[in-house]
Amino acid sequence: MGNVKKSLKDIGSFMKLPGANMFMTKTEDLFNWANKSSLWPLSFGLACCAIEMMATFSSRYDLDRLGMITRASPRQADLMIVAGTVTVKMGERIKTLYDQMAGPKWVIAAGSCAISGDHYRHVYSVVPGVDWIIPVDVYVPGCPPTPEAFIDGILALQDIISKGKSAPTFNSVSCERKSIDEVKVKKKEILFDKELIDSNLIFEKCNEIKSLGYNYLNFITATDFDNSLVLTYMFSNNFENKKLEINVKLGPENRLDSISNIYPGAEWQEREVYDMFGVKFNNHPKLERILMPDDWIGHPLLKNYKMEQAKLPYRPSREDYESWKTKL
Amino acid sequence: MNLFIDFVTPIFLTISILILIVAYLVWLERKVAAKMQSRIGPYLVGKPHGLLQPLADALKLMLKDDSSPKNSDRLLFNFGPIWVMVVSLASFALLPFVFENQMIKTNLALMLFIAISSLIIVGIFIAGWSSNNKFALISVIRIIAQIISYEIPLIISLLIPCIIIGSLGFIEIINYQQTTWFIFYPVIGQIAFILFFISSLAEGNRIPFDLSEAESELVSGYTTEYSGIKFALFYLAEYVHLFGISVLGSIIFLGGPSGIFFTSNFLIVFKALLLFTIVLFVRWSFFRIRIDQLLKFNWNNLIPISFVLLLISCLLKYYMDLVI
Repeated sequence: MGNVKKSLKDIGSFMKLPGANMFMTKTEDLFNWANKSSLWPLSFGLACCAIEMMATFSSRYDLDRLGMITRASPRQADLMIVAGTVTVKMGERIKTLYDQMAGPKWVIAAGSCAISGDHYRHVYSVVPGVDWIIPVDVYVPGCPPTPEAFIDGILALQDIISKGKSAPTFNSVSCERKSIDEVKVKKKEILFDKELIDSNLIFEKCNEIKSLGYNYLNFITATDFDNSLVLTYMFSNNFENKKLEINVKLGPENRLDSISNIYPGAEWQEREVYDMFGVKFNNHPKLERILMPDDWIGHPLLKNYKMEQAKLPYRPSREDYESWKTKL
Repeated sequence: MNLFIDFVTPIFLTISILILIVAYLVWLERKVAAKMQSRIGPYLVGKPHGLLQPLADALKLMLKDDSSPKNSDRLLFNFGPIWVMVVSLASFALLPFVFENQMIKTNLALMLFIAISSLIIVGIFIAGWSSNNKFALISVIRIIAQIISYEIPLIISLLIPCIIIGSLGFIEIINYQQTTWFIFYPVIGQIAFILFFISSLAEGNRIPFDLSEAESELVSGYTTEYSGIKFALFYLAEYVHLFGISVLGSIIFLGGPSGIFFTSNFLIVFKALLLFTIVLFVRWSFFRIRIDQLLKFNWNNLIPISFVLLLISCLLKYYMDLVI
């Protein structure tokens, strides 16, 4: 580090020989210096923390001062900055990328989500902290952490490397953030209609709606009342500035016609409803899971879905992980 | 023994000077990029302006784990970077840039230089094919289509000075330009230089023609599977090749060692660095173009212009010979 000046005695030792003096030092110090002076991070980001990370790389903060340039290929990267929420699906990819990186390699967990899952930690699809998957060297708190916090974290990592410590070691850095004034938004008046129809009539009803000039399907979603599911379709007419909401009450079979022939945008939204609520759509071109992994059991947004149902094939138990960490 | 030392010393000196220059070319590129994006660039490693940055990068790459993919062709995978490095260094044997004369004395130097430096593509193809990786393969397919098509205007733009001067040897070309540099030759000189500049950008895989390393599509192109020292060899070879083309440009178009106040071989390197800096300005201010636009631009514009220019310069030479 720059602020601590080292004397020659700290680095090595003098030897007095007849005729000449000899200075001896360790190559390890040189190698550690090389490793810490050109940390090349893998260029990827998971969520909003990645935006702050990009700001840290660009002008004003400029990580190139420390000799850091991003590499797209994991084979050439030394540092993995996990910036953002790690979902179960993304967790497998992060593990693969970490395994593909050539050692020596380091990991920074940036932001509350990557450290512990933060307020998503009890959600069915979120890994509560990236250290469940890969060993972490430095934790940078913040939601998201400011560029100053990022730089502080990288300096902490350089300190670890120059001392020659191996992962995982626990270090944290802190930074404060000021709030800004609220942004005022102008509101437009929109005409709004609501209808409740039977589940057999959805296809004919949608044909009619389309002919009325409703050119855009906003969303399809569902609500789980204890005895039945209610599907909500939202259409909008952009020429006359009108909106129409249609509620469909489903029978015990949870089955109705797909409207992806009429509104092509409905295709993946219906897949999402199927994934989360288990509603089956007739004549859908490809009714498969879209958000959850293909081998997932159950539909997470149903009220009778239990947290214990989630089985994560790759995930080690906390005890396994702790014991593995002490081995390193 | 003396003969051996006489033989080895110039090779050793050239390679070591070359690698030193090229290592600091990378530093120069990062500094220029930082300047253009209003950043500072490498600073804290070797304190005034990161002067030890290239050394730290090279040492770190040597220390990294050396991995080769499970399903790759091990032999060819390791052979690719060696081929690329050796070929790009070998082309410098013909350039008179460190010593008074080039190491291999021949009057066909330019033709040999082009022949040797175009062999680099073979090494790149070996690397991309043997990695057994789809990104590397697509990158190699693109790079071959690009280099084969852009080599035509490059060679023709280099032929135009040779036809007017009447020789393919560097010594004759340099002697001819002692009075006027070829870039100041009326009309033909300027057009030929622009053709040379554009097609050498494509030869060196620089933006706007860096399709082989399009990061948004192809991870990092043909070097995707390479780590550590093998990647360092590719990285160095790319810059050696680019520096070679810059030196060639400075010899053929910018008068080589002849200057306004004095004549020295130092000026060849200086002019080459000037050309390299212009390449950097282009790299950091342009976007990347699509593969079909790239090929269309070449076959529709550059090649017809270069053939017309070649014809004009042949006629001019014939007329001048008649007059004299």
